[in-house]
Amino acid sequence: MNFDHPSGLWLLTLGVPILAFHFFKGRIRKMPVPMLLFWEQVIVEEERRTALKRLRHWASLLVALAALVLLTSAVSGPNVQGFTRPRMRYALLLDNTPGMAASEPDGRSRAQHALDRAREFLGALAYGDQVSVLDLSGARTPFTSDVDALAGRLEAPRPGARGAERERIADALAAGDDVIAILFTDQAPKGVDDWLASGRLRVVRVGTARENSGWIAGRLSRLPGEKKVVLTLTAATFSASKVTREEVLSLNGEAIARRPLELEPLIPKEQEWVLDPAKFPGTRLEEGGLVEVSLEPADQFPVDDIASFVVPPLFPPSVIVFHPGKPSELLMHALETLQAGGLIAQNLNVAKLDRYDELRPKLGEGWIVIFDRVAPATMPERGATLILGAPGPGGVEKPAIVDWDREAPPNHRVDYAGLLIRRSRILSGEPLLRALEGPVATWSARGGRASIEIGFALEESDLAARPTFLLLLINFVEWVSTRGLRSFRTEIAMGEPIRAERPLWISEGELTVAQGDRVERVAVRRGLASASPAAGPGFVRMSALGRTEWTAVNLFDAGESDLRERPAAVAGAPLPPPAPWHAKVPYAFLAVGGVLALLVLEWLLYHRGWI
Amino acid sequence: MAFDAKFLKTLEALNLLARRTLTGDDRADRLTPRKGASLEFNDYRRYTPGDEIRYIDWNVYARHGNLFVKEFTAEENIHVSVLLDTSKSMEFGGKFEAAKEVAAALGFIGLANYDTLSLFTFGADVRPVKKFLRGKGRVFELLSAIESVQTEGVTDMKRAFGPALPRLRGRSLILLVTDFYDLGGYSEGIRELLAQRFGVHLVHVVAREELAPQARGRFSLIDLETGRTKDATLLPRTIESYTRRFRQFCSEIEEFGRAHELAYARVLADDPLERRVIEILKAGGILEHR
Repeated sequence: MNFDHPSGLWLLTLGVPILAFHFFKGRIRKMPVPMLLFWEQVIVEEERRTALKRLRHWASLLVALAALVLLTSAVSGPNVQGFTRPRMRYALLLDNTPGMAASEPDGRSRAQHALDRAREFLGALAYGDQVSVLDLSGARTPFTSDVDALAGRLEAPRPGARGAERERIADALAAGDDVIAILFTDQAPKGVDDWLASGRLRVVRVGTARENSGWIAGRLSRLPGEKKVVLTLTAATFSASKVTREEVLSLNGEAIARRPLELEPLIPKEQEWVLDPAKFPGTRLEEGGLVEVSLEPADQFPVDDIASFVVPPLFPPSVIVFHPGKPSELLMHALETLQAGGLIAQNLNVAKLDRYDELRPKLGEGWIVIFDRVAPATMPERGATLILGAPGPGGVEKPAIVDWDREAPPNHRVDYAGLLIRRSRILSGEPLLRALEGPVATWSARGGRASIEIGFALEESDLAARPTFLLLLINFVEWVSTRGLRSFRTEIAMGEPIRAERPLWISEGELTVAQGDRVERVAVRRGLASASPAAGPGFVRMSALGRTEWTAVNLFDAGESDLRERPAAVAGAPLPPPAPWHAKVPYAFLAVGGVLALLVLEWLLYHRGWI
Repeated sequence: MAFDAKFLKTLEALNLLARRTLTGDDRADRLTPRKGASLEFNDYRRYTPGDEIRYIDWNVYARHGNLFVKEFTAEENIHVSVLLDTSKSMEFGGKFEAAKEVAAALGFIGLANYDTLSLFTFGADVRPVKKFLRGKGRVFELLSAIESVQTEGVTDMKRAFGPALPRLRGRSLILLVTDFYDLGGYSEGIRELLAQRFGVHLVHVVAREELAPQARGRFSLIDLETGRTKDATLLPRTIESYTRRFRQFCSEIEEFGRAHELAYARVLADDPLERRVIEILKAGGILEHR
């Protein structure tokens, strides 16, 4: 036996004054009366009524002491094994995977059914039970015993990924050995048989088996220099019979092509869309845009019926070279090679540095600006920048190359081994190429701007004589044409938080994240920001200070699209039974009510003389 | 015990009522059955030699030829006996002091009306305290005598009133000032007084604590007269039963008085004396305005 508030036991000391008062009250006082006869008549009459009268005095003491004990228990909160109901802690896990968005026959989603069941469960809890609510994305509310308020606040969580199901359950159970996790889901969880068997995890299944078809995979590909992109999509149907639907290709919200699609049961079918501006004249596809391939008509689970892609501009970037008087021949030769391959625009621009201030406002994200052995006073606000051998302090003779960043996109498949450098500056920043003395090439990227600085001129090394340099340029051009100037990826999976993978174009401020009617404003700190997962498939727009990036959200998860019944391997324990009515009332209230009842009883017994 | 002048004036304006026509010793203002020399005509009777000639009604003789003499009622005083209960039960709730004040006030009214006043105390027997006082001048003697009276013993009216009351001349008006607590019963004793052809007025002195006891809890109840004790827990319900029983007791006395044509008045011991006298006056049958 233990107590929630042992200090409340001090109340028992009130028993001493109660006993004293009892004996004081019980003492016999002398009272002269003019004639005892009348008193004897009425007292005999009273005494005849019940034998309990003799016990009244002691009954009064017992009732008073019982009231004191009850009051003490109300304050101290005793826990008696086998007598008092232990307080339980539950972690409610709401499945927020996309499959929960599937409509049920009553028109409501599985997520709404799960919420109903969760509210029912909360309503059946005993007073003092504590509950925390989590979803499979990891969002959680702290444990609270105010289950009514919690039930009122309960809402369908944002869709998330199922991948971390076991980890989330483990997180929920990690709150304590006494915690029982209740998972409200439409699918039997996997890899949790141990918790199911031990009873620490209980599963509440919602949803009925449904037939469904939709996209289960998709990707956008583009070969360097090509002015077209290819969408490769995989569709599947999880039904017993063949399904016929129609693919609708849309660009920026307008349908530009349709074709039928027949799906055999459980046989994935790969479809390809070649987005060649020449094939879709008048659509301005070469400028890029938001492309959707949707399956019509819509079914019970529309989440997987849309495949979305952000198509980058298909024309190559323009290049301008600023030089001190004459551009490097080695550089120009390399650029002409790129020009010949269609990787950069056909008009190659060359200008002396003194024209930079004049041209700078015209240089935007479609430009690659190369500073050949010159250093601008201010860098371009937008676009890609390549600086080669800019003059400055920190020069070293014959630096020895020791390493390079193989993960950096410009270094893709590049090998600097054996590179000879006559003289170079040691730079500061993210190293792209590291010598013994320090970085001799650095790179940086943030929203709308990407740059590489090489501390030596091409003439000061044998870099231009190697394929490495050409590869570096190709990588750089390709990178800045697709992802290098972006802060966000072009595609994310449903349930994945919308998080900038590179610093934003603003360091501090507010980023507006919009998807359809839903708008979320996210604070930007040190160029970084993270928004909640998208509410569903489609496009999400991130904008701030006049610059906008789009990203496409897709489900592409066969497991989520398969809405057929899949029985659990382990049945697991049932839900705890509903608490009886008295367990829903605070014990202190019951005890105080009992105290009042006892005091009224004592008053009736002793002072009103019911016995 | 002191009466102020204003109160004495009030008392002087009152007169003791006697339902039965009683006889006294001396001439006074109260009519008696006896023939006398008052102005109040009573009857005729035939003239017999020796009768006063001045009482012959010559008008009757002129009409009938027979001699008749007129007879007149005698105006005499009455003998008032105040019987003050001095049993121990009167000590409760200031009843004894209140009873002494009432006895003094009634005695003063008697003296002021030229009645002969005697003061007796009674318990288990009757004891004279002061006899045959007449005139207002004896009031201090009366008050002094009342002051000296102490409580003792038990009440036994039958035993006290059974033998003829000692040397009460004529048929006296008895003012019985008591709490009527008599284990043997008050009725037998009063009947003894009636059998002796006394006029009897009943003045019941009651303490407020008897009417509505305030005590609650465990008590050892001690009978003031007998000294007997009883342990009891006084609950509101017990008090209610007791109060009911006491009111029934009062009603029984009142009913007894009504049945025997006895005037009955009940006074509260803690009321002011003026109020107690007014209560007696309001009860009717004991006092009247002159």
